[in-house]
Amino acid sequence: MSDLLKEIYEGHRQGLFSLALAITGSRQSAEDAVHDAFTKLIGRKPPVGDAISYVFKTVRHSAIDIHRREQRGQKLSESLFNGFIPSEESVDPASEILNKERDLILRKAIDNLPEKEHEAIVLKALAGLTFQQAGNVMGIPAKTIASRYRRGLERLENHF
Amino acid sequence: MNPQKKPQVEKLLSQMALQEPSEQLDNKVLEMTCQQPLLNPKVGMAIGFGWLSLTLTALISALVGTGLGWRISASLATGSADVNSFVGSSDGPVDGRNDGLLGRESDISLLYGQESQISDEGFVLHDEMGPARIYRLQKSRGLRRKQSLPIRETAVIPMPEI
Repeated sequence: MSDLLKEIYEGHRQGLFSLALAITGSRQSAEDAVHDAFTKLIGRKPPVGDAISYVFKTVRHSAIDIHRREQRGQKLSESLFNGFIPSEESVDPASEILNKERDLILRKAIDNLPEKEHEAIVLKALAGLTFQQAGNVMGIPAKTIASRYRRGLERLENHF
Repeated sequence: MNPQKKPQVEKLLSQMALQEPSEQLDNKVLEMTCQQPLLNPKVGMAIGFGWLSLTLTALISALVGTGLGWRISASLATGSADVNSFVGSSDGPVDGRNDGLLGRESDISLLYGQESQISDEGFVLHDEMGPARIYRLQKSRGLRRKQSLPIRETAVIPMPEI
C-alpha cells in the first residue's frame, strides 16, 4: 500500500491539495487534511476498486472533518489560484492584458461557485480526474458530477 | 451554452497557476509512505494485548491447578496414612490409641471411590466368637471401586458403644 500511496501522491499531489483547499478554504487546514488522510491510509489495505478515487475520497473526508471542526461553517475564501500562467501563444501585450483580466474574473467566479459545482470543477478540471473517478470521490453517479461540472462551466462563462 | 466559450473557459482554467502544497507536506507524506509499518499500530496493540491476556490466563490457571493438585494429593496421602494405621476392634480402640473415632465405619469412608490407595489396610476385629481375625482390604492401584473388594462387607466394624 505504501508504494501505491507514494505513486498516487507524486502523481496527484496538486489535485489532492487543491481539493482540500477548495473545501477548507485555508492552506494550513488543507495541508493538515492531506497529511491526516495519508496517515489513515498508511495502515489500511489497498482498496478493491480505483485507488486514486479512494485516496481523493479519504482526503475529501479529512478536509470536511477539519473544516467542520475548525471553522464551524464559517466560509474561508483563500483562493485556489496563485496567479496566471501566460500561454506561449499570447505574445501580443494586448492579449496578455486581456488574459490577465479574464484570469481575475475567472478566479473570482470559481471561488464564488456553489460548493458542489466548485468541487466538480476542482476534481475534473484541476485534479484531472475522470467523471467516474470524481463521482466515486463524492459518492454520486458520474452523470451527476458531469452535470454539475457543466453547470459550473456555464456559470463561469456567464461572467464574461 | 455557447460552444465557442466552453473551450475558452477550460483553456483558461488549465492556464491558472494553482497553489501548491508546501515542501514540508511533501516530505512528511513521502516519509510516511517510505516507512512501511508491519502492522497498523492499533491492530498490533490489540493483537499483543490478546496474546498477553491469554498467556497470563494460562499461567495463572497452571499455577492454580498445580497448587490445588499438590494440596489434594498431600491431603490424600495424609488420609491414606491415617487409614493405614487404623486398627479397630469391636470393643473399641486398641493399642492404647484413644481418639474416639476408631472403629467407626465412617472413618474408613475415605476409601470409597479412591482409586490409588495403598494396597493393604489391616483391621483387627476382636470379638468373643473366636480368635482375633485380621481383615484386609485388597485394593489395587488403578482399580475402580466396583472392581475392588467390597469394602463394606470386609470392614464393617461395630461401633464402640454397641
